[in-house]
Amino acid sequence: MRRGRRVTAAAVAFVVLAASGCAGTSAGAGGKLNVVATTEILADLAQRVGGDRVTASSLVPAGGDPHSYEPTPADAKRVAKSDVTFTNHLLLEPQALIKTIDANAPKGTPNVSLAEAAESYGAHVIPLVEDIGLDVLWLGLRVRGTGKARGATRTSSVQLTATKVDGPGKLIAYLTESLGQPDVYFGGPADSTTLPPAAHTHLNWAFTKPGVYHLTLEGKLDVGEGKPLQPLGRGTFTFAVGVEPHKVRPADGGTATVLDDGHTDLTVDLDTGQVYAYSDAQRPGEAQSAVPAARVVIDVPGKALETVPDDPRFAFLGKAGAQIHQLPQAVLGKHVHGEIDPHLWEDVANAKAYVQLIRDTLISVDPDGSSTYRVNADAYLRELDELDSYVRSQLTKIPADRRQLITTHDAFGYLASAYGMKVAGFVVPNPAQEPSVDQVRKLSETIRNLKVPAVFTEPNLAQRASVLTQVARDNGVRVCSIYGDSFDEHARTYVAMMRHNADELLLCLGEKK
Amino acid sequence: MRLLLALLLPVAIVPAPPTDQVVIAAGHVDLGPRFVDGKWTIQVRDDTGDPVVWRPLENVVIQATEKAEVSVPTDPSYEFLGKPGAKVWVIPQVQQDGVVWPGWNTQDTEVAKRVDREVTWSLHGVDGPGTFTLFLNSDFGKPAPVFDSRKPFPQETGVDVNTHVHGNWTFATPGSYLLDLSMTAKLTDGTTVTDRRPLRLHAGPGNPRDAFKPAEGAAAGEKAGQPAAGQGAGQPDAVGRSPWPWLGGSAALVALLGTTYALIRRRRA
Repeated sequence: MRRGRRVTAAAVAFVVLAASGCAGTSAGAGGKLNVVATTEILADLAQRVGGDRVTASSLVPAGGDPHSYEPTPADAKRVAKSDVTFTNHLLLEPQALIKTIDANAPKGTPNVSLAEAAESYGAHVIPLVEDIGLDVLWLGLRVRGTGKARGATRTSSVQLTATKVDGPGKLIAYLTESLGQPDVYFGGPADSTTLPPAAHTHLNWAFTKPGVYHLTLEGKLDVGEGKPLQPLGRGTFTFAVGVEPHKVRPADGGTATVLDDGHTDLTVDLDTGQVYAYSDAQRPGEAQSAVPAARVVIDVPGKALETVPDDPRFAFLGKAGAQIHQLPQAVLGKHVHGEIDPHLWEDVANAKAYVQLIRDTLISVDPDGSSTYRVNADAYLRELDELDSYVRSQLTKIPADRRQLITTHDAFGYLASAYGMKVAGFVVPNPAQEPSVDQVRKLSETIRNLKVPAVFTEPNLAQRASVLTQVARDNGVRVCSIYGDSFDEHARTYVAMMRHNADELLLCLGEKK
Repeated sequence: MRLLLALLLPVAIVPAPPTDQVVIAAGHVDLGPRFVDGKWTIQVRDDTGDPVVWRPLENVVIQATEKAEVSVPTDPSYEFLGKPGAKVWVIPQVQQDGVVWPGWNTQDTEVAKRVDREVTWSLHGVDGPGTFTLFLNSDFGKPAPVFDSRKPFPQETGVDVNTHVHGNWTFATPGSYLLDLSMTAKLTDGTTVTDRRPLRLHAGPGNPRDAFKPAEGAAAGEKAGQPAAGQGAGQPDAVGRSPWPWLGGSAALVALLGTTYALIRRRRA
């Protein structure tokens, strides 16, 4: 449908421009193309591409929050006089704002939702995380190999025993069965479980206090017929619960492989006798990986904080209402079906895709300006390449164990993904919402456990900042500022805001205390 | 002696060819899209033998045997399954010895490379003797529904690309169930692909091969242009007796398409 609209737009544009050429009656001042965008960031990109031929302006005023902006009748009038409108995507702009544009944009003029359309220009899009507690490692147990050399058959089984567990609290691995009944595998009354060869299962991994845990798993093969169990091997896995995993040494004391994403099984190999972490390929075509237990550090982040339910069946986890860290047995439902994280521009490569889409949209409306738009866009794209390198080189200087981002709202997933940072927490996913008591508690715990050097507010979100500032003050953590959805009086352009973000992150996270 | 030794060693079960009609009642299978001869197609990945085989949906019945029979718990969160204590057949989300373990995946290499973000999985209808549901266990066991045959159709859910998931498949009454499913995805090249076909399941007592019955027309039609394929046991009855009239119709349509296809091929040859 969008494509259809654009084709019509090109046809109608001819009429519009013919009119403006003859009589100068076009809506824009001085015969310029009148571009209306929802936010200042989008307007800035459009202005850079449009140059002298375009007047680009934003509906959300300087320093305003697009998530909660309420459109006025004056906005509707401005939209009605526009030649082109650019929105980002629903979930950045509220529905009322999108509706104001859809209802008032002159028929036949391009009305482009940049985030989705930019995908065809190479934009990298991240699905919207609905349940942050599910956005963690999916950890199971597995038996690999056939064990032929050891005389294993299809009826054999492998006994997995937690021979040693240490940590500041209890480690409990349990399975909640289909009808809600929990079955404890390790850490409770039982410390041993049995799996058939070539089996795997998913478990909940609960930790009652933050800190570093070690779990030694031993596998023994049972070929049945009353024969003694054959020892296979053992290995010690390390868990970083609520704490920065890069600061934690694995069991062998060497360099850790931190597992914090995707699907991994703690695995006993029937053939080699080894115990290792077996992980699915992160990208299609890549190989699965096996990392020896003693090299592994499993990240159980602040996002995994859960409240023990008021249900006697789960009393083995602690008192109802107690806070525990838990990697869940199933991570489906992590993403909202069909929805994307709207903050694409926090990755400069995505802003480049926007720029190309804006260029082609402007050309479709104003083909006479084609060469101008191309020259402007080319120059701007080069500048954005430099910006991308700059952000990358600044953030690379931050040590690996200090790359945790705690912010006022969930706007920095793209920044994290593109430049190797990690989203450890935020006050609210969307600033149009009030934080719940539980969210504030989770945030405080995360800040306290992670010992981050700094947290980050956004200049346009003063209200949300008060919560974060208070939590930071309580924990003696520095409060810094980065730009999310809007400019302020110090940063008036996209390039300036991204440079500031890179510098501020390095300044606040990079320095050793 | 040698024979005994051979029995003790794990024997790789050579799978039946994908052209055979098979009933799978134990082991791991996945439902998922693939590009079959370049065409986006929902198939069943059968991990129960060695090597792994992808089977046409039409040739598979997934069976929940008596081992899957449980009673509805008293926990009110599960009242959607029936009255407490009532019998229900549940294929669990987590592997249970002797019960088939069906999941769904979007991990086929070409699918994982070409699909943009996610696959939309839709249920357009269920034909069976009782209520069918598919649900997931979320935090602390609370059920999270995916599909429920009592709700209006179509119902849809998203499956992230390059993922593999399991859920609980439940059947309130024994018998054969046909799920009218589709999987749709936007590809990274901007085009959209979709495929819609029935998945057969059987719960509890009765002959699971009955689930093939209404499909015979479709299967025959699809095979029209191909060399004779291996036929499974139990020749089903005529389509006319089908208790699934809607499927009879679509089966006829598929048969027609199959014939047309065969004709075109012949003309080209």
